[in-house]
Amino acid sequence: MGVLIEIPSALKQYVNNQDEVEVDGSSVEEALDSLCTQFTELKPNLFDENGIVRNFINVYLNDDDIRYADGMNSAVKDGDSIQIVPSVAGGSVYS
Amino acid sequence: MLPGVVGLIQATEVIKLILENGVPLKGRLLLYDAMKMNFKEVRVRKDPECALCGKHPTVTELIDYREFCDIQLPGTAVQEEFDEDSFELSPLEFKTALDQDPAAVLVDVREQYEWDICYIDGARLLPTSSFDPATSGLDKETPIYLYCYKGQRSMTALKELWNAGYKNLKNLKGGIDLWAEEVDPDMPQY
Amino acid sequence: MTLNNEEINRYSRHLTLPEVGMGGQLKLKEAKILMIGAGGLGSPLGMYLGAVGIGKLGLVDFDVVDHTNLHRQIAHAASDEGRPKVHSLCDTILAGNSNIEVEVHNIRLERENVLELFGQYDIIADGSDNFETRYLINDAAYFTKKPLVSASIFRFQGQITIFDPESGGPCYRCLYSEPPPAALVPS
Repeated sequence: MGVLIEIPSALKQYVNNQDEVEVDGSSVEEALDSLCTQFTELKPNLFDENGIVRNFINVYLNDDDIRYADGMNSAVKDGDSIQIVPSVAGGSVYS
Repeated sequence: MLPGVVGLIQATEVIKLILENGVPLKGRLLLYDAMKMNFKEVRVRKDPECALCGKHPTVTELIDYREFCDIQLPGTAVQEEFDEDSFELSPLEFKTALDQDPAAVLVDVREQYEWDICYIDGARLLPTSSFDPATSGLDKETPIYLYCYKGQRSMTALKELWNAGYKNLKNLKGGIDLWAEEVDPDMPQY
Repeated sequence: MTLNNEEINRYSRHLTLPEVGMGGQLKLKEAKILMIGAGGLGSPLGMYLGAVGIGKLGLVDFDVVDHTNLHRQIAHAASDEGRPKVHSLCDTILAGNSNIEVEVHNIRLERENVLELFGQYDIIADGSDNFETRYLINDAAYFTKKPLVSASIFRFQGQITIFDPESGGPCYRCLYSEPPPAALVPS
C-alpha cells in the first residue's frame, strides 16, 4: 500500500483518465515526482519552470493544505492521501 | 445536473448565513464529484501573505482584472512575430482550397467525444490532448489543413507544427462551428 | 416587518421548524442577496432563494438564453431563447413566489459598477463562469465587507465555500492567489 493521489477532472487527461494513482514516496515531493515520472505530460501542468506547484493548484495532504505544513517536504506514509485541487471557474471554456 | 446539486448547496449556505444557524461552510472547501458520487472537504486557511486580506496587502483597491488574469506561460510570448492571420481561411475559402488540393491532409484536433458529434468528411482525428508533431505521422511536404471547434486549439497545433518545420499549413477560422453555419447547414452545432 | 396571512400560510412548514420559526422567516424576508450568474448555478440558486422567501434578490448577468443552455439551466424554458437570462430567471422566480422583490441587472459586472451594487445587498453569491469575474467579485466583496458564498463547477466536479474575511476567514485569493494561465485553462 502506497500513497494515493487523487486527480481532478481537469488533469485526468494527463494520467490516462484515472481518478487516482497510487505511488510510493516518503514526502509529498517524492510522491508527486513519482507521479510525474509515470506521466510526463502532467509535470508542466502541475509545476512551473522552477519546479514550484502552480499558484492555481493546491495540494492537500489528508485534507489540509501542504502550504501550512512543511510544503513539499511534508512527510507522507502508506495510507495517506494527497488531493490535487485546481482552481476552476465554471462555465464553458471550449475554444 | 451537476450545477443543480452545487447551486442548491450554495442556496443552503446563503440561507444558513441569514438565519445565523448551523455550521457555515467557512474555512472549508467542499468538493463534490458526481462521477464518484462523493463529497470531500479540505481546509482553507487565511493566508497571512494574501495580497488582499493578508498582513501587507498589495491590492488596496479594485484592479484591472483582465490584465490580472491574462497570464502567459513562459515561452508562449516569443510567438509575438507569428502572423496568425496569414494562415487563416474562412470556411468557404477553406473548402475551396481543400477541394482544389487533392494532396491536402485535413486534420481535426478536437477530442474524440467532439468528433462523435460531428466532423468534416475526409478528416483525420489527432486530438490536442495528445498532439505531438513528431508522432503525428504528418508529412512535411504535404499541405495540412487544421480545424477544431472554434479555431483556437487548431491554431495552437498549427504553431507547434510550424516550429517543428512544417510550412504548408492552413487553419479553419471559426472552426467547425462556423463551418456548420457557412458551409454545411446540415451539420449539427454544439 | 411582518408576514401577511398568505405568507404565513405559504411559509408555514418553515414557521413550524424551530431552526427557522417566525424570527428566521422574518430574517429571510429582510435579507438582500445578490447573485452573479443566471445560468447553471444561478437557476437552482435563484429558484430556491425565491421560493423560501428572501426579501430582495438581485440578479446579475449580461448573457441571453441559448439553445445549448436548456439542458442544465433549468430556470429557462425553450420559449426564453434569445431573452436576457436575468429576465427569464426573474419571471421563473416570481411565478413561484410573487411576494419577493427581484431586481434585474442585465449588465456585465465591472470594477466601475461592482462596489455600488454590492453595497445594496447583504450577501453575495458567486455563480459566475470566468476567473476575471471571480477575482473582481472577491475583491469587491472584501472592500464592501460582504460575505461571499462561492460555487464553481468543472465537468463533473464542483467546489463550494464561503469567503468572509470580515469574520476572520480566508478570501478567494488565500485559496488561489492567481488564476491559471490562459493556455492552461482546461478545455
